[in-house]
Amino acid sequence: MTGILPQTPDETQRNTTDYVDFPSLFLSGPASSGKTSASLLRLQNILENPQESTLILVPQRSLAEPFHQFLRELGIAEGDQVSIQTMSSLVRRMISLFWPIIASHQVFEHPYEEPRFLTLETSQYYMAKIVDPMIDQGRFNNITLPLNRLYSQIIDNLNKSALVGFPHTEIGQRLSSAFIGEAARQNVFSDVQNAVDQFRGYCLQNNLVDYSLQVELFCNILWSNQTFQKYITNQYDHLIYDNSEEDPPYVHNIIAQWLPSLKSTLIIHDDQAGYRSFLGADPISSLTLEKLCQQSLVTTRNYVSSEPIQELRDCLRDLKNCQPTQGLIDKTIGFPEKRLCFFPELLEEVTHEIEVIRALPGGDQKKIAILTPYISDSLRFSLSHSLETIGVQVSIQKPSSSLTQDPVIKTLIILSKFAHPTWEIRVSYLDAAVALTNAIEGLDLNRAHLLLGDFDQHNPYLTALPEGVPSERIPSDLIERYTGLRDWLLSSDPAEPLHSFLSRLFGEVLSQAGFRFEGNTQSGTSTAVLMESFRKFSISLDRSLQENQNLASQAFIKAIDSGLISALYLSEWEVQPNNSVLIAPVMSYLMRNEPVDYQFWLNIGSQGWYERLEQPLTHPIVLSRNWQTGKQWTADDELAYNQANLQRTISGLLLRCREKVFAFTSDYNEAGVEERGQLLTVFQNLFRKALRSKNGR
Amino acid sequence: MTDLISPDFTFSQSNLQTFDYCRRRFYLRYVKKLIWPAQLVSDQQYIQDREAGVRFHRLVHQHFLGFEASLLRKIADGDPDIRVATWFETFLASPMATLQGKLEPEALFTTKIAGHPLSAKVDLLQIDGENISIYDWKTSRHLPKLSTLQKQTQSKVYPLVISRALNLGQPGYETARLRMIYWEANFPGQTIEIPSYQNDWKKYQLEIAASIELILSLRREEFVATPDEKKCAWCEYRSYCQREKIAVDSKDIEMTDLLEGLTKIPAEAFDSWG
Repeated sequence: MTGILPQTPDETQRNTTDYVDFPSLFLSGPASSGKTSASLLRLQNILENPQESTLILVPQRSLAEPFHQFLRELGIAEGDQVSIQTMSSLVRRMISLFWPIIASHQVFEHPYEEPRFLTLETSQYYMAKIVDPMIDQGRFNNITLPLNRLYSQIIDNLNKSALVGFPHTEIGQRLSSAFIGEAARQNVFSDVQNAVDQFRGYCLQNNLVDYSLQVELFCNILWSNQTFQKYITNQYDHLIYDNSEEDPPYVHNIIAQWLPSLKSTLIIHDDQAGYRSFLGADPISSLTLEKLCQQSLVTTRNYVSSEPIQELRDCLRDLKNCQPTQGLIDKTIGFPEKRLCFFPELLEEVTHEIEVIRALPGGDQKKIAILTPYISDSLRFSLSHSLETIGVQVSIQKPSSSLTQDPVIKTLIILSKFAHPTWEIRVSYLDAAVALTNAIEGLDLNRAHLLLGDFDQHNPYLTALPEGVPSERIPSDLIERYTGLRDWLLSSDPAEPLHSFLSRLFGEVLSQAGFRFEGNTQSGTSTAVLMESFRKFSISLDRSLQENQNLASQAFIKAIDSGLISALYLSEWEVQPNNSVLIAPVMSYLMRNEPVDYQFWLNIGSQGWYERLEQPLTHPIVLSRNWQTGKQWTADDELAYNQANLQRTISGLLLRCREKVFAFTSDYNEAGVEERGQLLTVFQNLFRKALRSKNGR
Repeated sequence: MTDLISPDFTFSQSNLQTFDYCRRRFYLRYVKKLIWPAQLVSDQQYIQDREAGVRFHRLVHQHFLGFEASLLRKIADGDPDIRVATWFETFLASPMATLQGKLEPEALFTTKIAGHPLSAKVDLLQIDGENISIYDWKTSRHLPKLSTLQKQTQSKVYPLVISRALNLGQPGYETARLRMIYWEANFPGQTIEIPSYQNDWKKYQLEIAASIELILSLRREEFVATPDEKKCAWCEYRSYCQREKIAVDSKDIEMTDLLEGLTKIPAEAFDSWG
């Protein structure tokens, strides 16, 4: 028995464990009802036969953690008897291995050449090549959007067509027919369609395989191929598919076809979830798998929340007919002791409450999550700083951040520009001075300015590092280091691939004595991230650019500067250390599926708790399988969507809360704006009802 | 025993080879998981060789998955590195392309030694009646010596793991034999074969269990850097350990390897970071 397994499984869990009597099982129920734990018991039984292999399929890596932990406890290496995958990773690997099948279908213009896989960032790079000339011609003129968001929304449309399973040639028409608004705006959807068509054509001409093409090639060519079927059938005997509701319909279609050839299948569906609908998640499509399974079980118990929290959840699901008591509210909801006017006061109050919890007997063992729709850098910094001052360890879940926000990466980019004067990229005087202070040990900003010499106030830019300006105020060793760095940069070969240049800059200079990366482990990680980002960018380029590494490096740096390559995806899905407080965006927390004792909901007045991002060029619902083609998306639909979204979020959070929720807001938010969103109204209604009930009215 | 190595840590030929090479490198790479992206070698040739080798391995894998040779030839011909097509043609013309029996390409096997998983990912496992062979495809520029290969951890870990996965150590299999076959695409006529038997597997087991137990017993400060500083010239951690500053050329490494018969550098050491 391992620590992660339930000690006394209930009847549903015991049945789920039995893969012989329940070989094809659909298990549904709310979060925290012991479904994943039951699947671990089933896996334990399957593992008793070492000859058979199991695929664990999850929609997102963060949801695989219980399975990883289980295998770790058993001392089983992943990949031998058990493989843990997302469908996206499986698709990507299979396309690469079975490329000859795709080649024989002659879909691409150079079918026998290697495919060049695109990431989201490199897809945007190529989309920009198509969209920018269109903008110059006056297309997309009714839309005001930052360029990156424009590119990403067009790419999102293409992905949705593949994930949902409709031809990409119908995107414009589907969006247009659902749109209510000025007739002039309708033109933009034909521009979107035009960009999508051109992008797909460009990919096929150049062996570029973006995410949408990966899915289409897998579903339309690979899956039905006999050689592929023989391989995949031999690979896995058993399937455990957790959180099927968070996957798009194409995954459900594949599973539906796969079911008959598997020895056993367990599909786990979370009720009232589907948080990733903006990424194509379709709980309704997931439910269609139920009737294809031989058996179906439903769980209703909650193994996490206290009874009062469960009562609160029931009440909030049907507030109209609920009569909450003041006692219930006192037990389950915490509020600030005073009215908070400004956001910093809110942060102080959060810190104070956490200090109080920590001081309670056993309080230092309690798990706490601070949740808000979005986490800005300033919120992250302020909160972690104030918590650390009271001795609380903080763990931050940040799905992505910009490459250039990392000071190490920014320094490397600036130094790369100085090593490649032919690029003729200007660096601001201030950025150059900051980069030097980040690179050279002992150098401060004032002395960095002195080294760079005077600058022209009307043109405060540099294209090359000047010879160090001697000054009595600069110690000679600092001048030596600067000169050494400058000489090294000037002596580098512009034709050297950028990742190799960065690696040498790191190893030969910046990690040596006298420079700030010496012994600094974070600098190693950041440098590796930039190198990897370039490597991915570089392999998507055509051969002529790959052969001219100077141009490839220049294109990469320009793409970063323009924000095209911005995301830095970090593997920050680790289990929260026991004594730390987690700070996370609400949606990321829900997809982490890790219960806590106390939740702090910040900015409950924010509309971000339920509203989707403004996306004028795409629409997750209109492009879903559940939208009737031709139907218009009205304000009522938007309202209903928001309400359903809020319900789902509240319910999902309470299912993952053991003891208490702290609902905090300030009169003015971080940006100094008053907010009065629906979640605030929900709480106000709840209190009014409780007050009425207390006063006997 | 210290608690530096978690109970689920999987040992493999590459991390055990790294430990033999430099204890500190093992610690930094596998225990501390330190990402330190300094150059391993000063030239691009080694990386190009490795990438071409990976694509050749994939073609051979595809061959054993049952693809038509004519189709794979077209893919090989489309490869940007012309050596890949040559290697693949050499492979197709060799007896390796027509191996009989049960063939398992790119298969991962795991066993437990000293309480820890020990894994081996083989290029091809052939079970043809009583003949069991482990094939390893190579694209080396220089033919390695038999004595060098015999000393490599791979030549011990693979037969050990496979013999245990197939239960060949049990009574009744006293005459069982495993062949570890190194096939070099640049030297197709000079296949190197290392046979092993029950006694050898017992010996390998003792040797590998001793290595693992030694690793488990070391405290952090006991993972010391290799006394042979020449090795630091092709280690990414050289600046972290404050030893060498500049990477050497990959050709120099190979020559050193051949001339002095040094333990081969673990191939995974040349994986790019990221």
